Amino acid sequence: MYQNKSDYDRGVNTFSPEGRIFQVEYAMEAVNLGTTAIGIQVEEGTLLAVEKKITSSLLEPQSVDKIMKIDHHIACALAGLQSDGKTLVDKARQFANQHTFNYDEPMSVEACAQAVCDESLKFGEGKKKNKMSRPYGVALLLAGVDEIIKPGDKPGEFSVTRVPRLYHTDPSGTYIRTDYKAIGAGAEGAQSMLEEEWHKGMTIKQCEELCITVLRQVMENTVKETNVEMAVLSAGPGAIFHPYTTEEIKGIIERTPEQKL
Amino acid sequence: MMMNQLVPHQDRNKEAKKNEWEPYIDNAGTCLGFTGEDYCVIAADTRCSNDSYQILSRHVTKITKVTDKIVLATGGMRADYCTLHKRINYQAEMFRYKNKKEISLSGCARLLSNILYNNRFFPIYAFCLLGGIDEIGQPVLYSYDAIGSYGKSKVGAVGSGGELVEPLLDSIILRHHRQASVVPTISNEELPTTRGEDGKPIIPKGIAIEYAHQALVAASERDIHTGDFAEIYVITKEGVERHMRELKAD
Repeated sequence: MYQNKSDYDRGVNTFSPEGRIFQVEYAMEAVNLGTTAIGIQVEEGTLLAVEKKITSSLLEPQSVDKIMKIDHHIACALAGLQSDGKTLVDKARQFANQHTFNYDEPMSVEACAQAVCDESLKFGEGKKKNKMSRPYGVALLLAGVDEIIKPGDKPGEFSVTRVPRLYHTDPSGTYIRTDYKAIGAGAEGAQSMLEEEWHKGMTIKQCEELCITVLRQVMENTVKETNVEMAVLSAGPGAIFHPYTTEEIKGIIERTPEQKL
Repeated sequence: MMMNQLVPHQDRNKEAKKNEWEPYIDNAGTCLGFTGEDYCVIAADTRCSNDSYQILSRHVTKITKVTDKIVLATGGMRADYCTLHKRINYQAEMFRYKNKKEISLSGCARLLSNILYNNRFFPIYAFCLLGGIDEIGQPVLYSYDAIGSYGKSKVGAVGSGGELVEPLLDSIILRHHRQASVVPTISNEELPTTRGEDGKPIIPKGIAIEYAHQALVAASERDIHTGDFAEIYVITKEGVERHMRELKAD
């Protein structure tokens, strides 16, 4: 038995006497330091919005991407350590591609979330090569669209329904399916706002405006097209993943009325 | 070295043959399959024989049910196809857990191809037919070679009697090279009378089972490795039926 708490938070292989693994909890804290990311799911699709911190006027805003495509029907927004996020997203891309290679069909969003969580639990102290020595310090909002094919009554007839999905994964390797979720520094405020405003029948247009309103509340800087990134995964016909251009984001910001505090 | 060169060429080959490792044995047997309007039929005999005239078993199944909509039939080496069937069933089960749904027929077809191709340089000695109902409710049959090349087909036959059965199915099921008016008389059962848009008769499920049986009867007449019993699977939207029929036992 070690004497105090700080003796238990060094190794990731050891539980503390209270049954906690501190490194995992610290990793979750790392997420709370990250920029705010929001995911909203409605019947029409799923919307992702992320705050971008532009630390210098010399920084090219387009070079910071916090919403990343995983497959043609899955994308994710992340909060926490960006570099960990890139590694995890890279793995997720591999899993999605592997699934398509193996089974000749797109991976379901839930299976992707499960694969990501399996990956983020592969940490520990040991001699194993290519193994993470610490938990990933990143949380993901996995958004996507599942295609459900059902045969009709007559042979040859069938129907395809596209169902939007939103999953949240965290460094402890848990995933949950939600209708809306905020992660990162402004998560608490944003989550309570979403709780008030969200309803199932919202249109994508309304969601876009809600995202901007929420971000205005939780961001320190004024919301501009350069410091916000948005993307939609639409359940309608045509392409599923659509990242918004700066012009589109500018348009959304302009049409969203400023809320009085 | 000198000695070796003095040995005649043929004898040297013989010498080498003696010590050669033979990993394969053909346990033979015939599998066939075809699709109808709303069903897929897959059938195989149950004989397991070795390379000579011996019968190792008369009651060996070559068919496995992967899901309620997918059936796999395999001829070739028994040890190899038994393992293959176990592997595909394991993968289908894991797919069920990971993805919380049944594997689709096209997914299973790709999976089988991958398993076979993964053994590209020490192939699994198995010739497969995979059939069932796909995601949109249509019957589909896939046929394979030993290293995973596969394709959709309306009729298929593999195994020792495959070459005998294939043209038979072409003629009876697909009615290739025939006039539409000529009705085959290979079975005493009632013959199909309703005709599809192309003028070719639509074969009802009950008759399809008899055709599958008769095709195996025909194969067992000419091929000594085919016989004993016919195991016939019919896959429809409702599920999988299994029928047993007798074949020649000699």
